[in-house]
Amino acid sequence: MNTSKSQVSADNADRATTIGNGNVPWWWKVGTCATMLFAMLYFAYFHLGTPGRTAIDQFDVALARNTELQFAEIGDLQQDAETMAKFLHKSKTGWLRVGQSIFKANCVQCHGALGEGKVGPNLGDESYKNIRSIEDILSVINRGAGGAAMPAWKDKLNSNEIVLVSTYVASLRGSNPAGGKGAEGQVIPPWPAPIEPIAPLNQPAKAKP
Amino acid sequence: MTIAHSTNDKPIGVDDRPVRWFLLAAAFWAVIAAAGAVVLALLLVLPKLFYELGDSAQHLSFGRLYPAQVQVFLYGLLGNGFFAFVYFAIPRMLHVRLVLAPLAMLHWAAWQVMIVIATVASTKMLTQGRWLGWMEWPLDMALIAIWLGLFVPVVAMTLRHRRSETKLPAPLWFATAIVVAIPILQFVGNLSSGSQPSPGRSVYEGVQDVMMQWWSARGFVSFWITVPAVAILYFLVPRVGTESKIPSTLFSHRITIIHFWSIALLGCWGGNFQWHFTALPEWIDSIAMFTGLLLWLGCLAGAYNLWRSLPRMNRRDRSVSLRLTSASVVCYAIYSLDSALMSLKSAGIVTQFTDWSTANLLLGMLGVSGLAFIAFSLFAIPQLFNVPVDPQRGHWLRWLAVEGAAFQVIALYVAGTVQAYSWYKLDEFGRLEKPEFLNALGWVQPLWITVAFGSAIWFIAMLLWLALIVRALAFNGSVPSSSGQDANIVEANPIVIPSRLVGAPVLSAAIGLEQWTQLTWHAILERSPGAIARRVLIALAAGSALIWLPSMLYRGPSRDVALVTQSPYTDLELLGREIYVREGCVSCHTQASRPLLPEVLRYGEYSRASDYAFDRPTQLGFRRVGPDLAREGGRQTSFWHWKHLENPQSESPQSVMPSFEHLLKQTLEVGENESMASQAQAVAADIVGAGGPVIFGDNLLMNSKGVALIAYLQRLGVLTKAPNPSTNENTAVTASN
Repeated sequence: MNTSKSQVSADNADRATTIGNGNVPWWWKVGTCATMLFAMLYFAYFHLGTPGRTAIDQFDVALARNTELQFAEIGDLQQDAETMAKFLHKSKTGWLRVGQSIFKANCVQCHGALGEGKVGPNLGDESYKNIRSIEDILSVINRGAGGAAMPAWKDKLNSNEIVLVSTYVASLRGSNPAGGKGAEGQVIPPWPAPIEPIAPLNQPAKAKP
Repeated sequence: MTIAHSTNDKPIGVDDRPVRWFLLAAAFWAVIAAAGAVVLALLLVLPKLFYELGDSAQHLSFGRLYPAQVQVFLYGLLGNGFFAFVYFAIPRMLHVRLVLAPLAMLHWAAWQVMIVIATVASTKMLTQGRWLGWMEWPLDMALIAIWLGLFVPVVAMTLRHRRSETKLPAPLWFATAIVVAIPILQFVGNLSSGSQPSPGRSVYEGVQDVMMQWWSARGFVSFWITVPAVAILYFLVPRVGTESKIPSTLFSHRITIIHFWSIALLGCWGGNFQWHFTALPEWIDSIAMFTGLLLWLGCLAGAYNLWRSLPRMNRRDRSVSLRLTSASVVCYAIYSLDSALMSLKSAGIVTQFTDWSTANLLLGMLGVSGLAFIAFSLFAIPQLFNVPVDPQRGHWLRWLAVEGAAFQVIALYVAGTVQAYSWYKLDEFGRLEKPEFLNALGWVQPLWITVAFGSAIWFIAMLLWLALIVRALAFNGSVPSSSGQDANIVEANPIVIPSRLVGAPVLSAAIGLEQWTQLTWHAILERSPGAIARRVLIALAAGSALIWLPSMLYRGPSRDVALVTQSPYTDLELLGREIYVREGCVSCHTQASRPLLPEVLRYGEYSRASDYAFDRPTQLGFRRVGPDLAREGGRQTSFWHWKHLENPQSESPQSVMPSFEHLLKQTLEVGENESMASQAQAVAADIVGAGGPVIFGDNLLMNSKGVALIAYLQRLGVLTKAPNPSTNENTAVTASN
């Protein structure tokens, strides 16, 4: 390596570094005072123990409101064949879409995006392994199936969600999506006919079919 | 206006050998880090990049490469660059020879050896599992030993030899703060009861560990990444115009003081936007919000100070150093603004865990720090080697570096916004608009391609930088005696400006207060680096105590709650957790479901403190390339997990997750452990029963290491004391123990 020694000398007069006396910007002063003031108010409002103001409390309220938003119109659903038959209609809007959304969030990993079957069986054909009648879908989703093959969803979804996703699964029968897995199980009697459908969300009730 | 007086000192000789070596090392490691970054960016776009290598591809997975790459960047580029700066600046600013230069060279050698060992250890999966604290305990101690045993003595002894009336200029205040802060962060943040092999058992557990990890991690982000750059900027900004003999001015001494003490007091709180809505006590999160705002306000004022101090010159006259310095100052202002925004809880919903946080970090690493270090080296090269920097090459370097950084940062900000929309939007029914996690990927993919492109440009910039330094080194010129002038800042008595309030009908206390805000009393501190260091220590300790003390309080209670609701990890699950930590799963997956509606709808119940009670260290995570795993237990069957680990793309076609087939082929060491063996058998039975293979590779399924990882995944977030929680409810009642 060539020489690394160098020499530094003191500055010349024309290279002075001046240390300025610029003013502290007004926005820093205002911002700092405002932050400290707001902090005190914030703490007083949120952290002095008044109920309903913590993040958890606010979440609980939001959850309750969300559940109400979803199910206010239909109340608490019974898990039976009659309820499922009520919701079993092919409308794109309406409660079946809620069931579809639950399906997409939880079921597509094993059953495929269209229910064609991957690890789990094809839900779009006419053959069923564990189902004999429409309410068996509720039991399979609640308790799981095939030993450890399908997990139980009873503790992960609320009762209304179970009914709606079961009805959606029922509605997939016969859709025969592309790339579907082969038939497993046996062909079973067709579902009961849809009963007078519940009015789709945000639309007036239709006349009887 | 206080004006510095010059003195008639004879030129002194300085030994720049350490500076040259550190600069060369910085550029070298910068190239390696940049190459690593390109690979990482490509892995997110082409997950099967190394598929042809078969089982060897496991060494090049995102989770394993990420810690190695960040460490090389941190210690290789930023560490070496910082040392180069300190050894360069002290002689010139304080007009004092560097003493103990051989010790500085030993420092250099030890530091490079440490980096090499740390990188190799990282690739061998020897990691503590903490973000920015991956190094195992012996390496942590090595770093502290080098710092305190080699670096600090050289600096301290050199400072001793300065003239006593010389005031410490601003860059050295920041350097002092770094010198004080790093050993504390390194020691306290990484404490392990480390007799076990990796991952070393963290002294902290559960929510306490979450707080300590984020305290030290964000402390590192401040004191490794941004504060060295700030020190360099305060050094460069008054000097980059001096080639044209324009007097250089630091705009405001008072703002510098405010900037400095904001960082010293609150630097460890700077990034605690990672705490929003996690299982931490909420009041600590609120404190973090406000201390964050105060810190970033101070930094914004500092950026303003630096911006006003930049010389105003014609376009043609601006040197490359000046342009890069300006770019770095602008990046610092944006970084401070963005960090202030992220401190707000409401903004945290969007910024946390998305690519927005990554963009913010990259802005700091590349935009603020990278550009500042390059600017410094281009400024220093003529003085160190007596060879001018070729302006053409200099401008190429500037363009490539700025464009490379800009592409990456902007693309990631956009990606973060897109992800936030995809993950958090609810439809009119109150359900998730995009229920599938991977839905965001369609939009994010082209942005990640842009990031890869930007990282390639940055890599070329680093190559050019290294070439410039090597070329300068090879140049065999003698260094003239008049190089490296620097102003000798000697102040007579500080001029006290008479208060405007004199004569007004106010209390004399008000006048006194206004005098105090002139901050002229600060000059006493500036005479003594020791005084600054002591006060920084106190400020740092005070700021940190606000995190340490509450964290200790919450440790016991959350464990008590946890023992009521959950069983501690079984041996098999602990082994699985170890695999999870070693493979670096935390680089892509978080384990924190927040009490926000979209989050709970997507991932399940929000995480509570008791959920982390048995984790040492916790794997909370910081980025969701893949979905959150806080409530993964029981969501999928073990068979699904097996197939997913073997080939993720078969289960999730767009997934960027690497294959863990190598893990499934490895043998599980059970030894005499009966409970481990029986749990492994139970998990294997589930998998085989659902259609899995009885034999995989050369092993029966129950003898595969993958079973341990699956057992751990099935345990995550399970809130029952059911026996054998690794299997589903169905078989829980039939499990043997």
